Amino acid sequence: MKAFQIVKKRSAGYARERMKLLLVSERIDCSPQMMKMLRNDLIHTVKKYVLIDEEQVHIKITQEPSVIYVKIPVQKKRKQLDHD
Amino acid sequence: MSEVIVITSGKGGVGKTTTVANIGTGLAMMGKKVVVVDTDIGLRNLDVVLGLENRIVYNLVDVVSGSCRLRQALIKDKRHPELYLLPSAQTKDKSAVSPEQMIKLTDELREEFDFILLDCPAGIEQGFRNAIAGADKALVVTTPEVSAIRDADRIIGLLEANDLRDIHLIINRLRPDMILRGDMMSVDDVIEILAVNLIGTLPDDEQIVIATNQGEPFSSKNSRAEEEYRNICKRLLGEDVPFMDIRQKKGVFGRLGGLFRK
Repeated sequence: MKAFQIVKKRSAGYARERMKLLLVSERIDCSPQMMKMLRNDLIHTVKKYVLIDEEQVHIKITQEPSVIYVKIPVQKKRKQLDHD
Repeated sequence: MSEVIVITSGKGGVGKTTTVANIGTGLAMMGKKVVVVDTDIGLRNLDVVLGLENRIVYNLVDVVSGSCRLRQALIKDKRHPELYLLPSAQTKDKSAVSPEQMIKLTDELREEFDFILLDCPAGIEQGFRNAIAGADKALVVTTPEVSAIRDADRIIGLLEANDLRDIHLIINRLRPDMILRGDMMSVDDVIEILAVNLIGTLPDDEQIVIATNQGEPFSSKNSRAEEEYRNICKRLLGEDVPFMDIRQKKGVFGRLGGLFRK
């Protein structure tokens, strides 16, 4: 676990993650800040209708063809009952 | 069947001109008839890297403006009988040439040469648009740094937008020691980020600086970068050459082994 953390702290890993995020947003002309806003808006909208796991929402954008994939895990009904 | 290849990068200083000089020389040494064209008007460079700076009479702008014939401007490299240079102009600027004129020029060169290599200026303005206008294929040069990678991605997007889809990546100045300790992005990292075909991986090699000082590409004996430039030439000729493992030469014995490897 510790070794993993050391690897993650190395600068190449940071560079790779930063570039992936930046280039995806630049390719569709949508800044990282706007991507964050898109994510929040999506969560907000879906939440009005179903119970979702907000932490696990993933947005992926592919280039050829350009498609936005959004993965929003829905929480089980049992949990909903727990809330009630 | 001749091929027009533009070597581009977006960012300056990543090794475009050195790449053109080495691939041009390498292909000529393999018996192909090659012309290297410096399209960076106003900032002439390819001539000094090739050691041909004292032989320039006419230049690219003279040719496209009709001030001289193409043959008069071509400089024959006496060390490599199949290699020619078309130098850029030093006193004009990018607006002296149009994309249409470049297409006409490359078409004329196609009749004489097997390979036409175009050294593209940095940036995405008119110089870039001129350089890519007549090209069939693009080699995008980058280094494993965030700035160069971001610009390479932008360039790839612009090439595709201009219907130039035969794009290959050269990753330059790789430092195996830094990659091993996790402080430099690896070849796999860069390919994953840019999602483009790889055609060459070049180690950071001081022999290249020495060869450039002397104005003589391919002059050293034990240069790993030159070995890989030769591999890029073979790949351009359609050979399937495996990529060298950048992690080699680790430790003293590996280093010695590397010297003797063919």
